[in-house]
Amino acid sequence: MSHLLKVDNLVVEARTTTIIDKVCLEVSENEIVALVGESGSGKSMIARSIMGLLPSEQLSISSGSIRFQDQNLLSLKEQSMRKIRGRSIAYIPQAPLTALNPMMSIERQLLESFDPQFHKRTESPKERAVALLKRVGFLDPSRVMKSMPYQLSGGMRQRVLIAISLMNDPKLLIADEPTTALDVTLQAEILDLLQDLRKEYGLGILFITHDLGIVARSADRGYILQSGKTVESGLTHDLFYNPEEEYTKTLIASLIHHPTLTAAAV
Amino acid sequence: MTTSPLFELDRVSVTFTTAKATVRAVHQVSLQGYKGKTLGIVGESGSGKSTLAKALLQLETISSGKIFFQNTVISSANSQSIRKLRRHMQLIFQDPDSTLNPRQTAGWHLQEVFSVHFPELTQEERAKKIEAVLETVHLDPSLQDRYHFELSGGQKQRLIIARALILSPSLMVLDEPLSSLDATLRKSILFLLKELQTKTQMGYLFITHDLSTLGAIADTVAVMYRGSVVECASTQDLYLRPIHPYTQSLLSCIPIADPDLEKKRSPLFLPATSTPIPTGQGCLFAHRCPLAKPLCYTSEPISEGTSHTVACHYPEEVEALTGSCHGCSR
Repeated sequence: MSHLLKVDNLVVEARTTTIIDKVCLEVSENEIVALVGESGSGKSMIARSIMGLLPSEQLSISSGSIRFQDQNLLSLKEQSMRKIRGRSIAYIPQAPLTALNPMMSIERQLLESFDPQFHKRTESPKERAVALLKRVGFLDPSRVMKSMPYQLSGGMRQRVLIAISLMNDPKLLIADEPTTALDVTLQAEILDLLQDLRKEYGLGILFITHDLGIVARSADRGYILQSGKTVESGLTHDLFYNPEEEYTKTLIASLIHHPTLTAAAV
Repeated sequence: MTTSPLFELDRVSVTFTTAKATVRAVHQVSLQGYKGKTLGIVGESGSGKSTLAKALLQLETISSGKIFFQNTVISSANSQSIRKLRRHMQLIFQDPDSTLNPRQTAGWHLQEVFSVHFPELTQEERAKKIEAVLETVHLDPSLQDRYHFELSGGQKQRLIIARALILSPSLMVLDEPLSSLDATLRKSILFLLKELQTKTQMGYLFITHDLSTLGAIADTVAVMYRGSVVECASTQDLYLRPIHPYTQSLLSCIPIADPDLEKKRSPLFLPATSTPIPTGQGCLFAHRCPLAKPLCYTSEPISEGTSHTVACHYPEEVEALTGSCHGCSR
C-alpha cells in the first residue's frame, strides 16, 4: 500500500536549537495514526510543518522531506500549497473556543472554506454545508447555520470545525488535540465520529494527543515523541503491551489508574 | 457515621438572575465532607461544580439552604468572621498561570499570606515557616526568587499548594488542580496531595471532570448534572455499581489506556432526544434518558438511599442499562 503521507528525516531548526530532529512518519489511507508526546515535545510543530504553516522568520526546515500523495510538499510554492491546504489536507485545531471567528456566522465560516474546484457534484455549497452539519451530529443544521459561535457550546463548535475541515473532501485530516477542551462524554462522541468518517471516506487521520487513553481507544498505530525525536513507533497494541523504550514505559507508568475502573470494565 | 462532618451543605441552592432569565446553577444540594477524607465532585462543564465550591467558601451568595463548617453555620456569618474562617479553608484553582501574579516572585506570594493572616510574625519566623512548607511540597527554597514564567507548570502548582499550606487549613478545595498539567506530572501532584492529607488530616473537596483521576483520590464521589447531585456513593460503589444513567454514560466514556480492553467497550451515548431542554418540574435528565417515563417529565426525583443516593424514579430499571460494566458489550 502506498502511503498517503510520508515524512522522512524531518529536521526543523530555530536559530540555535533543533526543534524537530529527524522525524519519520507515515499515514496511509483509512488509518488513524496517533502522535503522542508531552507539551513541548514538538507535536504541533510537526503538524504545522506538514501544513506549511511554520512561522518562517523563527523556524526553518533544514532537511528532510514531506511527501503527500507522492508530491514533495517542501518543494511547492506557496501558491500551490494553498491548493492543498484546507483541501486535500485538512486541519482540526485544538481550541474550538478560539478557532472560529467570533464575528462571523457559522454559515459564512463553512462557505468560506468551500472551494468549487473540488466539487464536480451538483450540490450547492450551502447544501453541502447543511449535509455535513447533519453528518457531524446536529439535529437542526439550518438553525446552527444561522448561529454565531458564542451561541454554541464547546462540543458543538468542535463539531462545526470538523464539518469545516470536511468541506472539500480531504484525504488527510490532521487533528491537533481535537478533544482536549471537551468533556468526556463529548470527547467520546467526537472520537466515535472520527472513526466513522475514517470508515466512510477512507480518510487518513493524524491524531495529535497527549492522552494515552485516546490512543488506546482510537489509533491503529502510534508514534511516541520526546523532545522533537520519535523514540518509539508501532502498532497500538505493541506500544502498550511491549514497549521497548524507557520513555514509553514511563508514559504508561504515569497513567492514573483506578483499579475498580479497570476491574469494572473487564 | 459517628464523627461529625468537617463541612456540610444542607439543601443549598445558588441562583443567578440575568435580565432574561433565572439560572439555577446549584439546586438543592446536600453533601458532607469529613476530616482526612476526600469528597469528589464530577460533572460536565456548566454543571455547577465550581459554583458549589465557591458557595462553600462563601465566595458566592447562596439563595437558600445552610452551610456548616466545623459544626457552625457559616452561610449567615458576617464578613469579618468569614475572613477568620478563610484561614481554615483554602482554594486551589485550575490554572496556575492566572493564580500567580506575573509581576511578583514566588517568594512574594508566600510572604503575602503572612501580611494578611499573621502580621505579628517576625521575618525569621516567616522565613523558617516558608522553608518548611516548600520542603513539604518538594520545592527547592532557592526557587523563591523566581518569577512565575521561570517556573514549570508542576512547580507553579506546587507553589500554590505551598501557599495554601502556610495556614494549615482543615479544608482544601481543589478545583481541577491537575487538568493543566502533563500526564507525567499529574501523578506526582496527586501523590503529593495524598501524602499531605495523610500527614495533616485535611479534608479535600476535589472538583474535576475526569473520573479516572477522581477514582485514585476520592473516598466519596458526587456526580452533578445541571446543578443537582444525581448520584453520590463511595468511590468503590459508584465505579462498580453506577445506577443513574448519567453516571453510567460518564463511566463508559472514559478512555482506558488498554487497547484490548477498549476493543470490548463501547461508550454509552445519551444525547438529547428532544428539544427544548426541560426546565421547571420533572427530572432534568429526562430528555436524555432512554428509559424516561411520563412521571419523569412531571415530578422531580429526590435523592434517596443512605450510603448510595440516586436521584431517579426508577433506579431498579436503569441499573440494567449497560449490564453494569461501563459500556462493555457483553
